[in-house]
Amino acid sequence: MDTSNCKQISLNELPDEILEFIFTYLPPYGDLEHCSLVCKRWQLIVKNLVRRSQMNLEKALSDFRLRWEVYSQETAAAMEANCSSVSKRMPMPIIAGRFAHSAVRQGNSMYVFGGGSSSDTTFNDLWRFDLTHMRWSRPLATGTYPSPKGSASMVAWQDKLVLFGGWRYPSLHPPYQPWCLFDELHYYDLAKDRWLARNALPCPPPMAGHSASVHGDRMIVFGGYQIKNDVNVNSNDTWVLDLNEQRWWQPLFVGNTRPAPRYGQIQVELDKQRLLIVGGCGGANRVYTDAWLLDMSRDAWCWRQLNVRNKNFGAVHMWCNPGCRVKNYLVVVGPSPKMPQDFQIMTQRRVPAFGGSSLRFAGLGMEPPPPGAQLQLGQRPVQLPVRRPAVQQHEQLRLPAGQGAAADAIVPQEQYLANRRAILNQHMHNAAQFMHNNNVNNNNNHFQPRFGRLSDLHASPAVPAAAAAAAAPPAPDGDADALQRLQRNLALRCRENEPLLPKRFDEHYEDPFRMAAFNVPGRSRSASRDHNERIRRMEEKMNAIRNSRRSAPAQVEPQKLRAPSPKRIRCNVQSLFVCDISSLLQSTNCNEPGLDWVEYKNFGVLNGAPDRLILSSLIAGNGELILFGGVHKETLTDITHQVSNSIHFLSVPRDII
Amino acid sequence: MPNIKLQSSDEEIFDTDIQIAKCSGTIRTMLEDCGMEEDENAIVPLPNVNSTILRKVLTWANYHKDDPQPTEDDESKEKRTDDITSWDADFLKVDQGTLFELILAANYLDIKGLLELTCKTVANMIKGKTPEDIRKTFNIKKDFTPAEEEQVRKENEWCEEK
Repeated sequence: MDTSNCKQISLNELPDEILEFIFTYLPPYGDLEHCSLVCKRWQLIVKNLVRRSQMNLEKALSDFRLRWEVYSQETAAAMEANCSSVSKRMPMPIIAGRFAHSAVRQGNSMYVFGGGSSSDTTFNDLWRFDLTHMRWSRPLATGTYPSPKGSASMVAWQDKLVLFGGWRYPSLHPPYQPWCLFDELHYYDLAKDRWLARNALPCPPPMAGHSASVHGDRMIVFGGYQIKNDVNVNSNDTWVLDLNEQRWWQPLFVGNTRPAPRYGQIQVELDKQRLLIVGGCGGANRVYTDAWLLDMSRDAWCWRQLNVRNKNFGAVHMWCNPGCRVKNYLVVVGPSPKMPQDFQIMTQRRVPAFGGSSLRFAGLGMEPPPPGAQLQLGQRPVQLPVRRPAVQQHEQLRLPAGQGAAADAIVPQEQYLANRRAILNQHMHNAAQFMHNNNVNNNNNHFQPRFGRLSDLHASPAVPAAAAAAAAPPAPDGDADALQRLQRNLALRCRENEPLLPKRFDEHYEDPFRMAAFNVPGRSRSASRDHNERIRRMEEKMNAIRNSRRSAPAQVEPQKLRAPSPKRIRCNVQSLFVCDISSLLQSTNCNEPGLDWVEYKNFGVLNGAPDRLILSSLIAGNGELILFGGVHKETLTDITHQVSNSIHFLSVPRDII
Repeated sequence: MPNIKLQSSDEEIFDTDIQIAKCSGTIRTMLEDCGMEEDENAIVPLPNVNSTILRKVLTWANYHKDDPQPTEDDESKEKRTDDITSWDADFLKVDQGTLFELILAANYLDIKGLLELTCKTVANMIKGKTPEDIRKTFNIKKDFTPAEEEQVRKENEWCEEK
């Protein structure tokens, strides 16, 4: 092609507005940084663009003119299919669905650690989402790994991530996997991809659901569910970690004014000397919507309760729903209490929030479909629109989402773990069958026990599945009944009579205020030891029955299971709540500093809103907000939960120049 | 269909279907404001667009004349730059000079679709490149001193901290 002009124009002859418009098509991370390094003019234009997009986001937040975009497993697959430059032999890894994980932004990446899986296990993997290239990767880390855990705090400091505390799931097999809280402190060196365990004395008690923020070279930790002197309590203590010296200390406070003990609260940094605490949960029926300011500017620190205005537009469940700060605003995502249930109008537009199952890894060393009993069970209450190839709808509908992690996790001790899990899995599988019989008889049973599939955590995929298949247990009826009774008994004991085991979500699902994963008033730990004894004895009995059954020659077809009646699932989507915190940020002491919830539109439901999930994470990107993971509250009653591995971006619709 | 006459900067006359010409916001406004729609012989002067570029613009407009108007809330795809159709991609297999002139013309003529398309194409040329690569690609002179460059790098990092 040619031009009749003698002189060709170059890119730099285009006016600033057009260059800026071109730059808006770049992901606002690495590429934009590169542009700012091209020349002075470009640097100024980028600077303007960044400032403008920040202003646009704030403006859009204040009048709810935003929209959601999803990055799901399907998106990734489509991207990969389009992009021929990615080498075909290594499929792009995808993070497994999870909730109660820890997420933080560092540079142009979002890091995600641990969290709960779809089947009551916890992860200890670290993933990085490259915001520039929209890609997940899993750094191959060396060093001392943290324990698998959820509800830990993770913050970014310099070129490190700092991970503290957390909680590991209970299971129905306490002898194998006891419930516990952690006081582990780990640094992750991003440059060296190395975990460093840092356990110094004195240190805070084991805790989970606490909140943390970085102020200069200090990490401030507040509240949480803790074990203190062998007693489980909600805390309102403040701990400070000197990040350089790796030394913990507790500050002195002026007076006794302080927030009530709580966990799950939202904590944001206001500046180097001040932080803000909002919400949290103090136990059954004690969900807070208050706000507190911690002033750290003097030797003795000081808590101050803040006014919360316009509360009827505020978020309510600010303990299982995430929030983060965008300059003058605090943004919280969660259910809207005022929105009518079964808000069908919205469902037409919503995006399925999870591509959590093992779609991408089909045929890449994943488990074969589980045997019939589990299948039947698994299919039970899923009615949400899931975009998947039709072939896979039956077999893979509810496979645990951990496959993604499993596929690229080859760790030396895997073999040992795999063996151990194979045994466990066998138990689980048997249990599944009997549990199911149980469920059929007691549909809608609130105490319906769940069982976890441990196999999806790190196990090399083939082993547990093979074991499970080998153990497919046809059973003579009498024994089956006995075992069923025992199993059920065991399950209920685990849950009802064990005050120390955190109540499960499903025991509370009728009452959203009591869904806490760990909101049980504490008692001494020695009681749990007795209890573990009892459970162990019952397990022995169960094993005896199993053994007798296994040796029985008769092969009886497993009972054809009746599909249980589907449970009604609420078709709600995430709402957005925005709180103006600018009065806290003004340097001039305005007379009534406080929080002002912004009047929402359409119940805070925006275009493309994701399904309503709890225990997801929300972090601020450049001119956008990034929501990741979470679990469908309703499916916490199910054997495998619907957990999400989708990322939802909340951004401003494009403005035309 | 009535035609109108468009005149490029080098005074070539383009006899154009009025519906096609109206994809340009600028021309549309001119026609409406000046009441030229009735006048068969009116000539619309476009002093900022030369004939080569105008011909290309009209080719593009002719191909896209039946495109559905983007609706207000159809925003889900707008941020993507990988949604360029193969016809458009072929259409834009031109040298950089022509591409930038098309951008200027699309901007001047206020043709949203063409502006987005061309800007996306340029964005795709920038994507994934180092600053040095970008300078080479677009023949841009580096005017940073090493100290200044270091400063910008630092500022970028500082921005991330926020």
